[in-house]
Amino acid sequence: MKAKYSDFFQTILDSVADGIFTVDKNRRITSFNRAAQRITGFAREEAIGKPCYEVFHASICQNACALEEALKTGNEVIDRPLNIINKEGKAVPISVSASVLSDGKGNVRGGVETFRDLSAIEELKKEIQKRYTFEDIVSKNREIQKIFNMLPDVAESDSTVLIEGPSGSGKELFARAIHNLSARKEKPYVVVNCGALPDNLIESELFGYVKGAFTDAHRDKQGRFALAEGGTIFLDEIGDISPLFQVKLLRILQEKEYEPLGSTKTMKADVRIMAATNRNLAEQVRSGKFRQDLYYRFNIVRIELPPLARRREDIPLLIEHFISVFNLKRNKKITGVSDNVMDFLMRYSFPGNIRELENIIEHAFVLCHESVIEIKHLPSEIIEAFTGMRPLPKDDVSPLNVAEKTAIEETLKKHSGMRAAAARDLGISTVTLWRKMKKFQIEFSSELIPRGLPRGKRANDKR
Amino acid sequence: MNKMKVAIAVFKEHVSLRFDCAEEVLFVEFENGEIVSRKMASMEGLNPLQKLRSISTSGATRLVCGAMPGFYRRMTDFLGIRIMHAEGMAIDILIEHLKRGKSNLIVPCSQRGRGKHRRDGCPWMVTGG
Repeated sequence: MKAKYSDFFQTILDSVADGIFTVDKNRRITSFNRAAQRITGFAREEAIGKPCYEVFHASICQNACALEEALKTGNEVIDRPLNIINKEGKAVPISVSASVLSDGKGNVRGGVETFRDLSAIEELKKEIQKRYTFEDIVSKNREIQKIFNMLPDVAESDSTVLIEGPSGSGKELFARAIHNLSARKEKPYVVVNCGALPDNLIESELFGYVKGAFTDAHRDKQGRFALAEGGTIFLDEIGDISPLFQVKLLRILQEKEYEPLGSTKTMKADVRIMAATNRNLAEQVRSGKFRQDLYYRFNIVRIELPPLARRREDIPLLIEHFISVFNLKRNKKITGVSDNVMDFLMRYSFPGNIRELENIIEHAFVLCHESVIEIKHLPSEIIEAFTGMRPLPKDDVSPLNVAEKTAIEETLKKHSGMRAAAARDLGISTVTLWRKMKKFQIEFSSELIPRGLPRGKRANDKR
Repeated sequence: MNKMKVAIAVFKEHVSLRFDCAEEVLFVEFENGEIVSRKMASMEGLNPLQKLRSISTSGATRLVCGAMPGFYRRMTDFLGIRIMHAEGMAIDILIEHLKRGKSNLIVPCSQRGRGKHRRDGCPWMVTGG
């Protein structure tokens, strides 16, 4: 009877979307529902019997445990925001509520905690408020790790920072991370895209103007430097500014002083300046397009971001990151990419860098209705650019193509997915076979290999 | 000559449950099974990146701590510091283990959840305590 009730309650708990667990008086877990397993990554069997702090690793476990507070005060704790570290080592934002569990006589038996995964909300908030930290930069590349290592010093220093790197390599993310790590983090962070502003606008945009400075200047307007007062200004695409404006910028970098357009009053700017460019500024100086003295003012702390092609080891990490972000944003449950996609992306040159990889994954998310992203979900332009071949259109069902595809599939099956042996059998080279497999979107390996046979011992493969 | 400098992320006489929440780090230097130096350093107000930097500059080659987000694990690897998980273990017991060269009682990060160290598949090992 007792076991029946236990199953009954477990079913109820498992049907709830929020994580729920109960603990005894020693904070050992006594029940753990399905949502709790999903959020923490721990299976019920692993969690039960363990102290809750060993499973949750919450930021409050040590000194502000919600359950301990509920047990001590007898009052409920409601919706306390915190983060836990899940089984994969990822920080997960949650909100928890905790209450005491008592028996009928009022004796405390333990506690119950419910928690809600806030990852999706936090991700959206982060995107809207642009409150990225260095923890949002995903990399295990040595060059990037070197930059991480110097970030605290860079953030503390208040010196001008120049970030160089190709388009889409994450220059702004680094600039934000430095700002958010610095003493100015509570103050404004203002971004100016210098490349997007025409010469006659950039001065009034940056320094502001006073009433009457020009026709239609009906009232004073603050410039971006004034808006960034006490904080940081990020001048993006600094390599694109005109020689005339370079002179004006020189003064603010040197003296931290400027005059709004039409004003005679000199303003003092307490602003940290960071700049970024996808051009090689040293090269620009040599060719006379960028002032040398301005370059030296910017080049106090220089950070050079490598293109994605030079940090290929980060591609799997970034794919995983973008998949988890898009799963949250689009409420999907895509688990990863197929081996073929991974192989393709590891070899692709990524002229658009990380932004391009993000776009590729986003494109795949639109088309993919399964759990794994396949080659057919990738944008056809990049496959074409890479292989020099368009993927087979969906309506291309000519008998010849069908026959060719079937012959390849059958031969691959016969040779347990071994391409070399299949190519020999078909009388074509392995490269031709590979190209045809791409054309017909044949995904060999596990699907075509009969189960239960070890790869090395499959029939007819003499390789 | 067997020398080793260990940094231990501390919270109230125990190994901190989370590295990023540790407010103190105990640096202990061992030489041939004896403690040569023992120094507690406050990490209050420092972000985890700064904490890792100060551990690295102290010359410590091992870090005993609790859970650590992936970002900092990668950084620790880059700095050449070996992570050992012993969350919640009492500092005195931990030091005794380390003195006796029984650092194998604490499971290094790289072996978490594998082979003989597997315990219910839990990556955060507490052993020996």
